[in-house]
Amino acid sequence: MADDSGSPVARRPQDRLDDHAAIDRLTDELLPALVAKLGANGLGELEVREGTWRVRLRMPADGHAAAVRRSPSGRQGARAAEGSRGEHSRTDAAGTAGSGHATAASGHAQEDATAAGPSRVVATSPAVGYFRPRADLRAGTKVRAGDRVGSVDVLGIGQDLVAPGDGLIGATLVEAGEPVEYGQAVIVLEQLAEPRPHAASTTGAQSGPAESGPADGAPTGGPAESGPAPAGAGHDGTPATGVA
Amino acid sequence: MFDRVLIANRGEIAVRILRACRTMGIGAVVAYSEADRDSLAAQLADEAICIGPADAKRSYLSPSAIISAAIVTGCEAIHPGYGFLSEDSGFAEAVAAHGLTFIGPSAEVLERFASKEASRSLMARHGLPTIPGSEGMLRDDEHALSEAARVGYPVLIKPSAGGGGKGMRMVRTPRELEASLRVCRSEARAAFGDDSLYLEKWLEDNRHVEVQVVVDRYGRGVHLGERDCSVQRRHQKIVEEAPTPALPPASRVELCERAIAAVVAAGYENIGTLEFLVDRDGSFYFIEINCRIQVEHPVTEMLTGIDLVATQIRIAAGEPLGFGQEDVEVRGHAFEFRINAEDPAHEFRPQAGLVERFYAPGGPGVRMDSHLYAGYDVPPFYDSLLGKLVVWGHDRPAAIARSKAALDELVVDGIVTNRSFHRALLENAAFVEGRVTTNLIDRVGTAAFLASERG
Repeated sequence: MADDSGSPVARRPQDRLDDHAAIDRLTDELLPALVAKLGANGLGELEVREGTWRVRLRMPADGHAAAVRRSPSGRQGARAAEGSRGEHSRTDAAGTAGSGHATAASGHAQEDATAAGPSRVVATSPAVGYFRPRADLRAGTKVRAGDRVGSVDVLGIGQDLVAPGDGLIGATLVEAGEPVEYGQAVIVLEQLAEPRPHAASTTGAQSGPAESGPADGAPTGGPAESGPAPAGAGHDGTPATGVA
Repeated sequence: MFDRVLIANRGEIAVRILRACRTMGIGAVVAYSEADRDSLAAQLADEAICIGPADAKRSYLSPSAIISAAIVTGCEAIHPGYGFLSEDSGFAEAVAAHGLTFIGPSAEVLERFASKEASRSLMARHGLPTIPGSEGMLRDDEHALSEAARVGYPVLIKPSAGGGGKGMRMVRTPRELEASLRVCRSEARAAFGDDSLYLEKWLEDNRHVEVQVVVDRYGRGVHLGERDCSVQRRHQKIVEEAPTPALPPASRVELCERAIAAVVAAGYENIGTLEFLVDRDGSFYFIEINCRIQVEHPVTEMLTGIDLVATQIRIAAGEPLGFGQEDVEVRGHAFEFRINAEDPAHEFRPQAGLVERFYAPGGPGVRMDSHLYAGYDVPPFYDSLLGKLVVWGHDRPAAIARSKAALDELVVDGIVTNRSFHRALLENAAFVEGRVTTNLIDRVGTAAFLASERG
């Protein structure tokens, strides 16, 4: 996490822009490589410093992608599991979000989220509405980046729910016909290959878990991945290249 | 009455509407953009729902996102706040078409008052004096030049849609007019999606006075007195007060009575504000009507004790007003200071960033409507309003004394605000004597105000 020292620093608009640029760069370039490294070596924790930024990735002890502290997706996950008609409570979410300092840092939490799901991306809702799955898709169906994997019904008009990367359909986190909000994690995609060619040394290690992923179908920590960054950073920031 | 209302706005007004809902026992759902995930309103809401990205066009300005959010969260009504879609008749119509209630005037009423030019002529027909201006919209440069020549320079170029000073320019010569038209058009197009412009005669040394009206669906209306918004910088209101120091009591009553009679006759409904310019000799001219809750509504709430947002919700729910003009009592004097994330030392440049400390002032007659909290990261995407300090006193000097104490007590660390400007204004002789005209700050320059700051 960057700038988690807690020291009060005056932040000017330019600083913020710089930060957002740095987040984008970290998300797009550095993190996929680090994630691959972490997965391949079985390291528990990895920290890299660059300029004023510090990124720390942590693999949970059981080696599985576990829920991470990212308050919005935690909330969305809870809501999806609940399956009730929009009755989730923000107050509950605030409990997990913790102090003002923690919530203020949520813009940086994406790095943690990415770390939690080394071989997954998530299709997030493009709008507020009701989720409609694509009838012909089953867990394990192979999709490519840009494929429509469902839709969100907004006032009777379907908006495409699009796969942000290549992969196999994994857990669907929202029941058909249930409401979703903008940016909500809906379908987990288990990735077939590593996102970046330069992480090629680790691809062999990844193929096993990726294929076994859809079978269990449990939405463990799925919503953690690839949620949109609040300040407008790219929300499909984990580019997937190359298909097996 | 509604069980659940969707608040389709952000910042301090979202918090204000939420408070009104709570007071009335209505569930409040806050619709927020990704940039406002950690906003105070979203945290306080009974439910909060993300409707889109930071870009307002895809969130707070997206009718489908907002209406869909209201439906999926089980709301019966939508409160649009101010700005964004608050005066958009198309939005109001779409809300109604989905079986929901738009908290504000009906689409038909909004449509009737949508164009400033059209409402000027409508209100003129109902007996309100208006400023000499162009006949209809300016068709092209040639038409603008001929109309300006007819009205007489200086003239004010104004966009038909929207407000807040965007796309407005005062010009003194045909050459200035020609040079400004294109800029005004592009500003108006960018801000409101409509580049229609019209012209008005520019009145020197005028005051900006507005009348708060409340009209129920059954044609029963009252006025809640006037407010003076003459302290402006580049046509942006900075400080509001009531009653206006510009008019003697008898003239104030006349202005307000004519205003309410005219809007009721014109078929207005819900709450609204009629804006007037008052010239040096006390003549007043109707300029426009704001068909929404205004930023400065707390000034009137302080004087009358009437909750304007609650009243707005009740009227939208179809309830009768429930009180008459004789029940409205205006007491004392109140100011509202807009606390903006702007640096007065650097041309009021907008600021954004982390609020490290926030202490709201308090005490008798002091009210702070704000969405700030320590640890809040002010997003750079929206307007710079951080909150409103509203101060009441039994008379103007008492309100000024309290305002000074309250401004001194206000602490916002981590982000520069215009607090120092307000503090300096309170020491300014023209302000203390109640002589501020709309062009004073731009004429004197902000540096002159800051120079007189003490402490």
